[in-house]
Amino acid sequence: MTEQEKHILHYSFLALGLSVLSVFFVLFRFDTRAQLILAALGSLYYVLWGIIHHALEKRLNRLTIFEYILFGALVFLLIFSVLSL
Amino acid sequence: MSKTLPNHKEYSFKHHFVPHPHHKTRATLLSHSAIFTYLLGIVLIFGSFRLISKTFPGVLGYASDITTQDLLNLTNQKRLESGLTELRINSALSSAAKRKAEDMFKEGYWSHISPSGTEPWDFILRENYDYVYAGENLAKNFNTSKDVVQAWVNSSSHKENIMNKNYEEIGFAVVNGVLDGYETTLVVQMFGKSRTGSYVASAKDENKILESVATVLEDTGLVPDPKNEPIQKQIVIENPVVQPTVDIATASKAIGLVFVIYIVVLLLLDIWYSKRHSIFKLTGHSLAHLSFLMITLVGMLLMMMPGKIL
Repeated sequence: MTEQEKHILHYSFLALGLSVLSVFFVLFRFDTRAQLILAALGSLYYVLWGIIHHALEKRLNRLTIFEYILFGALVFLLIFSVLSL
Repeated sequence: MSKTLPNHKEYSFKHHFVPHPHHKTRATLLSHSAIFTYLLGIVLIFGSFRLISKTFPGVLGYASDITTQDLLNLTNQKRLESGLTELRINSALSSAAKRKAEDMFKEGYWSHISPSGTEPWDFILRENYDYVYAGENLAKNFNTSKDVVQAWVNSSSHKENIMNKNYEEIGFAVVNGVLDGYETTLVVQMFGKSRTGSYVASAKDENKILESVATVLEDTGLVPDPKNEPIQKQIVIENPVVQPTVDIATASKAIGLVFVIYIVVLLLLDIWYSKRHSIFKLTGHSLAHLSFLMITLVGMLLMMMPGKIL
């Protein structure tokens, strides 16, 4: 498998996971609690995807992990803040 | 010297928005410290919303314009579209709905069952409505009657109530108050079928009831007489139009939306500039972050839909 094919495969997993969560987010659009859980799951999935993807690419370091955690936290905090008002 | 200083300034400013070709880092506004600052900013902004709502109740709230007439018409319209009969407005059910809404404001909850264990049926029975079948739908913070009814119809459990062929009568309450520090509009919809059938209001009575809602009658003698029910005097519903200084729902969602768009634009700039100048950065993938934020953007747009139901 070429590097490009690996990249496409990894991104497919990201797109699939986030798409499934998005569908559930739409289905539970009137249930705030469910949406918060989905947002938390989405952020966690994203952080894990980033770590696994970079580990497989042998480019994982502490700063990269921190970056994915920051982006995951940013999105979750934003959705949490808007939903909890 | 006089020439290098402006160039240096331009160089520094530009890299707030685009990656640094020599340092192999993201734009300053996408650096780890910047993202951390954004996190603190979000906590501060939304935390201040909570603080303001507690310190100055009524300044922040949810603007709405919901009428019981529209709620009744729209509910019956949905039933007629499904081949069901229209529901008749009932004063006892409307009073029960109003009591329920007031109880939620008083006790500070938003649920079918109160913290002290009071169920919807208790409110209905207190109005001497002896029911065979009964149900309750709740909504809060919607802007219009149409949004409320549409949200209920979109939810299978709430739709079951609206489309239930066992129900013959309905009551509404649209009550304003402060819940959790925010100016809030609660909508309570109660369904029922009376065991005695003596609570059935005629079409003429319905109009009287709805007129009385608009004129806000102040009679609090709420003991219904099944034989001779003074329907138009039994409903006391506050003015359903709420205009807080700041509509918190719109404000918070707009802030969230603008912020996500801001990060998306920075990431797009990062991808474009890195490709154009062949900058290989030892960071996470901007495309991955972009995908994640685009999904979030869709979620934020979805959250622009007003209100919540229960």
